[in-house]
Amino acid sequence: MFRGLLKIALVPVSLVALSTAALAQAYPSKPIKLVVPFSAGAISDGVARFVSDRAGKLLGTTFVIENKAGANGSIGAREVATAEPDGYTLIVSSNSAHAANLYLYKSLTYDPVKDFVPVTGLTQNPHLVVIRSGLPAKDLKEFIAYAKANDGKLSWGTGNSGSLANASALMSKTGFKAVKASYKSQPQAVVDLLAGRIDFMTVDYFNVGEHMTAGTLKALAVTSKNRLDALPNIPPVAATVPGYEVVGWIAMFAPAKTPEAIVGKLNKAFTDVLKSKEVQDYMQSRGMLPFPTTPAELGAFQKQQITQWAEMLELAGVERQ
Amino acid sequence: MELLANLTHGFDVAVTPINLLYCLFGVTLGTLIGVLPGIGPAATLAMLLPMTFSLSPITSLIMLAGIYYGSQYGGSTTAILVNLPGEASSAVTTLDGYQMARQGRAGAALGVAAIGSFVAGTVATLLLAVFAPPLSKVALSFGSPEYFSLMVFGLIGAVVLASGSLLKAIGMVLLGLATGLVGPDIETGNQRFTFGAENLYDGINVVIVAMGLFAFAEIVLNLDHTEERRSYTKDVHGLLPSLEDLRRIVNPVLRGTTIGSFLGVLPGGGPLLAAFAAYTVEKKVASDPSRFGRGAIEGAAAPESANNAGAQTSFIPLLTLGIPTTATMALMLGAMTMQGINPGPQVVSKSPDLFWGMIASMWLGNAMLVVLNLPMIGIWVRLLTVPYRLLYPAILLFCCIGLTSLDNRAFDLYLGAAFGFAGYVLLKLGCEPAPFLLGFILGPSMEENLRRALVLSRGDFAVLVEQPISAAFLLAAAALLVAVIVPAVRKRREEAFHE
Repeated sequence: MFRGLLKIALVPVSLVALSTAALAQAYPSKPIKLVVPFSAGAISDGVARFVSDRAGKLLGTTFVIENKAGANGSIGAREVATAEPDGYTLIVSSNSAHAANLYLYKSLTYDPVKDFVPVTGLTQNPHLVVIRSGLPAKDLKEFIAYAKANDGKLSWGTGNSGSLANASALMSKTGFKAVKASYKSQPQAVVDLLAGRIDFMTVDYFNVGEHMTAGTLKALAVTSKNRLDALPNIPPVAATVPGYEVVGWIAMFAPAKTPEAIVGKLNKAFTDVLKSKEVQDYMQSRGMLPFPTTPAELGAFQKQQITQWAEMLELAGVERQ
Repeated sequence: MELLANLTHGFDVAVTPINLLYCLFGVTLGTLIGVLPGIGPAATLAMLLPMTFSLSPITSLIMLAGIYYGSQYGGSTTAILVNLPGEASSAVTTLDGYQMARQGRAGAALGVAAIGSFVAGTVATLLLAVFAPPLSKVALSFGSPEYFSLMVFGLIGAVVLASGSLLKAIGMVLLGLATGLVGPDIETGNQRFTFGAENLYDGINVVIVAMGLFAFAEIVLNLDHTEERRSYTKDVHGLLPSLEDLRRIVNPVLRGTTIGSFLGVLPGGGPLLAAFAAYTVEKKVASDPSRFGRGAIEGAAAPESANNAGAQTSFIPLLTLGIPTTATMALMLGAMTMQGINPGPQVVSKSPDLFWGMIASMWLGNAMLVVLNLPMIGIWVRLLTVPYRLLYPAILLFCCIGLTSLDNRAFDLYLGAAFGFAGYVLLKLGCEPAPFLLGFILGPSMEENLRRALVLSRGDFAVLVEQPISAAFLLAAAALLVAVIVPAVRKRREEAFHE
């Protein structure tokens, strides 16, 4: 009798195994839901829409974007963490929902590592170190020397957790202090920088490009490992502070247990799109770097980032919620 | 000359087919909700905010602005024919407009209301074009201390000028401030008033608050009134006022326009106060005040001019300083932010297309409204006969679609319902939701600016009075407060609202 029960119990298991194999073969056979855990119009939303539109054509399906914002991306991430791992629910996430939130919130309702499988990286978004035009410094080295000479007298602005972590890391690595002014958004901080009410900040190229051309503020360095193609004259911070690399990133994840074959198909389509000229131009004009990876590379990168963001946020004096 | 070039540029933007279409859509919708009592521009804007995601910034603002001033036109129709204000700001028009309708002069009353509104709209739009750009240059010198003091002034103004009980207005502002603080602390990121609810971690979306307080609460409140009213919807003829009528309304229209333009700029002022003030002034200057309340044509012309002028000029503080003076302007601010435009001094210089395009569209919209409201008045009149048991459920459904489209969260619906319930209770208690919304919007940014001002001054409060602009605003705020506390002024304020 027990044997009979066991047999019955085994049937659904083998059915599941069979159906996943068949599923991967036919994948994708219907539109794929792409959760963006940020508002429509956010940078990650723009990237998700632009890239998925093209990848959809390669895969012969359409991606339906669903913006599910809230709690720094946590609400959307939790929804995908508990979704069916059939490849029809994916997330375009970022350094906040899939790294920094582990440090920011005491009780996170999802596990950014165990609840997901990495699919591919999409972009890296470096910051520029910018100073107000009146400050007597021509390059990063001079600025650091000036800031050290006036320790605690300069002030800086931040409008999001990325710029908070970035500037805090820069100050602690070079050993100077300054007063922090917090803003609701980066553009507000840029206005005060233009008016000379604050002295420096780190910010996306997108927010300050026009002011750089107009000469109303000075960009000293970029926080990626290498120079940006769009800004060949701006050296990396690493040229002055060896090993410095702090970037925001956007990447795609699927719920844990999503079949490997499906992840492989998605990875191929998206990395192909990222290598196209059209996408490269789109990203370059916004100061982003295309970030195609294998799933394993993204997994390793994410683990390293979780450690790095925790360290930086601790340095920045952010309290865990 | 530069003004002329800018205006030409504005018309280039405004007359593209898509912008003309959405301007027409906006003013038509505005007239519609103006005619329908119970649903106002704030609720309509709240409902349409999610829809603007798919439009360009300029197109969506043209549409939203059209709804706002369009509703000022439509509101008078209901006031005159049914003795119900279609819009709060048309409330005073019922006094003489309805009496005119009873005397068989409904057509003339509708006619002068539309003509007055058009004159006022044209003048106020011109004022916006002339004064907003220089004002915005001054505004560039606004740092955190200046913004903080300006907002203090704005909030106190909103309280002082609000209709109804002063104490209740203060209470509502404070409640709004507290609700606005839900979410992360700007300096430390600590969660405040979220009670561990993940859905509150980013604070509460203004659309939810507005939808609950205005749309839901007002609809429920309207179900309270079931009494029959004698309406004159069948007696509309002879829309063109006689020469004698025209002669009589020239001065009231001009006075109404002046008063409305001025009060529209003040925080808390807006069309409602403008209409009341204009009516009071007309009664004061009239040679025979006893005619008022018995169908005086000036009593319809002046407030209708004033409320439209006030609606247009309330864009000045929004576009130059980023300060909303009314609940509807607060929603416009929300719409601009969602479109990635930071309302403030940089709008005029950074987005000339947007600024001048919007101004040009306002004039075009006013012209469209005259056509919509005079020759086509019959359609709107017929609307007044649609039973509410069909209309209200439809409006509620659209509100719910709007709420779920914000972030695809069911939680937002519950929150909207909760604000609807709270709004209904508050309205029953005689508390206005407008000061609440202003507190909700201005509170967090007031806090942000104060804390930033103190951080940058290394904790020195003197920074608030050392800067001349900031000191001036604080002084003005103090003067307003004193004016309210002095009993004589308080009595006069109450008298004005009683009339």
